[in-house]
Amino acid sequence: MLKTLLSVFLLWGGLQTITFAQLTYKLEKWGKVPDADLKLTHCSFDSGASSMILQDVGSLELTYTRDGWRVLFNHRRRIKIFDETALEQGNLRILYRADHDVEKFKDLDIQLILPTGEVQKVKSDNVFTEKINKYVSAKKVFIPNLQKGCIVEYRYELESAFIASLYETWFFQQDIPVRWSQLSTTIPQYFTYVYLMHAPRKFDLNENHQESITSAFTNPYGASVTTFGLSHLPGIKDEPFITTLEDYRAHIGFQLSEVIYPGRSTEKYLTSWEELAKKMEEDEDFGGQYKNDGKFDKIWSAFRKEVPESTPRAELPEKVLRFVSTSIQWNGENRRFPEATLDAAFIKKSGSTADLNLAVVALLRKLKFDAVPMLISTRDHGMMYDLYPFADQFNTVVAFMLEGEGGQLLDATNPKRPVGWMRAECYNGQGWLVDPKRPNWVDINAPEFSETWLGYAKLNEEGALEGHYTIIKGGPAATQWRSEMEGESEAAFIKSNFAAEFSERTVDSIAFSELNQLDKPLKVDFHCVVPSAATPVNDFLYLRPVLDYFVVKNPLKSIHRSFPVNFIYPYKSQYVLNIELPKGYLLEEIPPAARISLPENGGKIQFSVGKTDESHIQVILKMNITKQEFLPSEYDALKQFFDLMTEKVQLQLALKKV
Amino acid sequence: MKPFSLILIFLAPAYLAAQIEYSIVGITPELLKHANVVVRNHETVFRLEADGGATMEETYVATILNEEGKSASVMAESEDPFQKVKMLKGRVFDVMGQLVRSSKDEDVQVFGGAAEYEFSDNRTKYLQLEYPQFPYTVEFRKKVVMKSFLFAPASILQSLGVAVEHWHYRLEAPNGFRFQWKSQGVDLKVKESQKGNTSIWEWDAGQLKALPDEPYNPYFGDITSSLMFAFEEISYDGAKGKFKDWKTVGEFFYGLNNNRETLTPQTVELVKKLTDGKSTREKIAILYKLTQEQCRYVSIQLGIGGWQTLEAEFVDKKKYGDCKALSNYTQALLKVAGIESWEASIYGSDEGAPACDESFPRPLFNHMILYIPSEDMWLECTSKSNPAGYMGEYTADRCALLFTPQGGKLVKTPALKLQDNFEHTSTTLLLREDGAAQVSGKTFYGGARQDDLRHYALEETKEVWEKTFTQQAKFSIGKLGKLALDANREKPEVSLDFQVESPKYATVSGKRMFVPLTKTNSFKLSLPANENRVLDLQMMQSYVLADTFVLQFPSGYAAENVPAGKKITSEYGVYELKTETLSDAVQVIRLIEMYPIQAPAAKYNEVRQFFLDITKADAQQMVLLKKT
Repeated sequence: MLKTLLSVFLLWGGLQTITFAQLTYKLEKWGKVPDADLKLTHCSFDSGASSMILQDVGSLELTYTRDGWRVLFNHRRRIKIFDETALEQGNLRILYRADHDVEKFKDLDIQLILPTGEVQKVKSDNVFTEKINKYVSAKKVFIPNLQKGCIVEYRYELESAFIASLYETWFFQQDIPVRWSQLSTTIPQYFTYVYLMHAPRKFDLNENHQESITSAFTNPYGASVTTFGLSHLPGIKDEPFITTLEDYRAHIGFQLSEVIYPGRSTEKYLTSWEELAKKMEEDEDFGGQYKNDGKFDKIWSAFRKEVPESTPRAELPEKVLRFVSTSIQWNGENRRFPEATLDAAFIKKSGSTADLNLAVVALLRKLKFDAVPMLISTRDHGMMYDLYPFADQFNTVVAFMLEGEGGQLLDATNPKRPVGWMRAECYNGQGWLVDPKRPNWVDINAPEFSETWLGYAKLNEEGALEGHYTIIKGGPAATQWRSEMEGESEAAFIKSNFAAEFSERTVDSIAFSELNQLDKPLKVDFHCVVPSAATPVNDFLYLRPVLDYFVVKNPLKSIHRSFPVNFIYPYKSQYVLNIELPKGYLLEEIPPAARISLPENGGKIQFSVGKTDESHIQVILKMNITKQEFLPSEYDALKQFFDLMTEKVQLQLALKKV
Repeated sequence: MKPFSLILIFLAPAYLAAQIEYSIVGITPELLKHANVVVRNHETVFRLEADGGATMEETYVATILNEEGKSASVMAESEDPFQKVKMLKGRVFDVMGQLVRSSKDEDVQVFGGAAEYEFSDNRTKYLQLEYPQFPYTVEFRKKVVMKSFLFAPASILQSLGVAVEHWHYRLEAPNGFRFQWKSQGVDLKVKESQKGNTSIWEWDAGQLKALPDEPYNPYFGDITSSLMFAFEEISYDGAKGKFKDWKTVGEFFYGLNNNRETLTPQTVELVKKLTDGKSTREKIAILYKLTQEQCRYVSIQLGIGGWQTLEAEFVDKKKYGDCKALSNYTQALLKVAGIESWEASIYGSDEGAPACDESFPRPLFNHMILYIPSEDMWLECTSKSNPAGYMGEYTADRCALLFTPQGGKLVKTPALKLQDNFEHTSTTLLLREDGAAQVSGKTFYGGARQDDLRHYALEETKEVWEKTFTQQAKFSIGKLGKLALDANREKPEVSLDFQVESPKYATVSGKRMFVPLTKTNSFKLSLPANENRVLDLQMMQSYVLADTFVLQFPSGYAAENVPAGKKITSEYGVYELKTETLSDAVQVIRLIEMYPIQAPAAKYNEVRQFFLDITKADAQQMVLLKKT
């Protein structure tokens, strides 16, 4: 009922007042600032903020121009500066795509409203155009005469050819608080879009009505006008252990689903995953790269020279991965499409994830393996939408082999990584196979990051602990060590990666096993002396038995957490040390065993000290974290979990001379 | 025989030659020691034209031995309206010196993005040559054309971790051209010749061994050897000058920046009103604060604007500017109040500055500040928070070039002394049975020790400060009570008054509790072990920390063992820790004095041991025992 009334109101266009259940927001007109806002001194819902967006108004209108269908983006923002620390809000930078005229930036209009209400136009000599690179330019504005208490207001129009995504995602939430943010979309009747959104709660405004549009270039048509509004959004700041901040900021994005012109057949943009897979496989720049021998001739012949035909089939995937990762250097970039051809990257000796991993797919297929590309959105690129079949949600590619149970992942970005694993950034829950026969979302569980320390050591009266230790690194922990060791001596490496808190330690007799067996855990045995493991005081020796661990300090420092903690891997850490006590010393007291679990069995810690006999003790600290995501409501428990872990790492035992 | 085999045979000799030239086999073993990069050949021809323009052609061939040497795989050059990169090409050779690829035009990247507060006409062109296996060799060739320039670029022969097989520099100029040159870190001899109307100067060097890249070294910017020039006559963007000595360099910049001090009548009025009847010192403080409160830092660098300040009136109207514009604006304000001040060029950096040479007038500056001769006082006009006259680590203790009406004058800025850089804390910890503690304290920071805190006190929101405090605290924080940070506007002093809850301050082990003595402000510094240190050691920061910690036992606990005091004295500093056990508390008094260190490599382990001893002494814990 209310909605209908509102539509009438808006069409009538009179007061521009939007009323709904709890909130009334009156859109302020350009340059008209209410007295209360001139006098405003702080943000009521984010008290620490030094500036606030009073209103942020965007509209995306899909409209027919002389160049065809274009998206007109109109943006109007008003920012209040509360104090001097926010003067940098007067340095604006608006990015746009300047290559091939895909975006036209127009009509930038800026004004400064002094606390007195006086309006000063910001002239064009304060505006600069910066060419950042081939594709992107920026309008830079330095607002003159900006003082505390001022309001900055600006607006511009941008015409974009990016129809499939309806220009770009609108973020209601910003790094400074937003009092009111709204986006309107005007979509002609021929077009259908799906929404990709994340909102912390129901929209404060969600309104829709129909309009009739007349155009100089086409027949009149009907359009659907939808407005979304959110109010009182606190500023959002980066925190450690997240995927990307964009996943948490309130936003709405769009994806074109279909176009139906009268008298023409429906053009489907979001069809089905089958269709998308077929389209990608037929794409010269994607499927053509690994299906067409001509694109990777050189790679293939170089591979054949290195790996003879007599090689057992079971060893081939490993050989392919090794060959690609050592002959093309990953340039650090995530891409879906190769820059030119796979052979071009091979000649250049450098390439993106697309160059490397499509080369893996190509070679595997050539060797008659059932291999396909898997598309992924990396953690820093954000979540995936398996409801809607569109390719732009992905930013990178790995290889997938449909052999064995569940298939195998291959990622050639690091020469030390075995078949089956990807680099950390790729573990974002799932991935999509580009395979028209079996288009499929695959759930990806990150492998376990595991570490074990095992030691037999002897303590002397001066407090030195001398003994034999074994460290076993499993899963990504092994890959990490294998890559970090490159170019370093074994002794220097172990020295800097064991018992780092004990500065005078020495290591020798180092023996690595499975150093080159990349799919096996990495194991190292060594002898180590830690001169000050224990502090002698009077008749006592105070021993710190845990020399190294998963973490020695609590990585969670913030007191509060506004969004979930998201870990990449499940973690497992075990430490067992058997200690022979110096003659005449006894463990004065056995500290009680400790055990703590995370909510929903998300992990646990076990700690115990035991006497094996009068002169031998054993210290055990075990921990695992199996849950990947911890909600803000679980943050305190997680922080305590790490507090307990670090307490046990720091724990000391009292030995007394008898 | 098929035709293409013939071609191969013809190509073979050239191919083999390349292989011999760039193969790693050719490098003498002494050059590999400490090296991440071996420069095989580095040749530059700098050709000066009669119209003041110049062309620079450079060939740079380097073998990259490992990951640390990868910076040599990039060649970058800047472009602006006066300088264009005409050519930038590269080739990659594998370990045997075999050519693996040549760069293409599209491999050259251009970027021009600056920070939000900056705009300049400067862009960077760069080419990166990657190869998946070390060692490999890169060869770059570039040609840069300059319409006009202020300074001829220096040629850097070596930085740390770089050895050089062969280096050659050739300068060509019309006869009669006058300049000075200077080599640093390497002995160079010049060979002069003439060819028609052109004079030629050439320098050669080779077989230069690498120095290891060791921390805390005295090399500024980690550069060990270079060839530098000072051309006597310069012209840039229409401005002409002489760079014969520092006096004339100063004259040029004085001329460029003088007479740009006009203010709006309103501002002139305001200055008079604010300073009327005040002392010189008071006037300076008032006007400095006026710049600080009204203006923000925005840097716009276009053409000569990189060297010439914007008019004071511009800043007056816009309320922003860069270091030059804000210095000039403050100078204009002071002038209205009858106070003479001079602009000064300086190298601003928290990590020291290049050494200055009285006899070689080649400016190595990146920043401008203001000097008031009558008060012997310096003003950092880009700071929104410094008290008047305080420089901070960014500009203290280095040479500056004053632009006086009588020309340039090289002077040294005052150093921050040990007693200026202080931290006085007084902390009380109420320990609880579970190892938690209520920590409250008051700290006074001075000089360089307050630089960051002053920024948080005056230029950031409370929220940012709280977050920073929590992140940087040396002990875990569960709850923030009070966290009042207060900056003194007259003096470089900041005070912090705080009360927080620490959930795990002490470690409980059965009936014992292990309590760190100084954890809330612990001292920790370790130099990496190195039995064969090659470079001298330099650590110029000096400061004094004076702390009192009162650790109050939980009820029912008594001290089992309290560390005795400790005193470490050396030429590098002093550490003293005293403990006093009271009935239900231990009081710890700690004094740390750190002197500036400049020690030869042979003393490295002595210095390392000094820090090790202090770190160890400072990590001591007391043991409390639960009474039964």
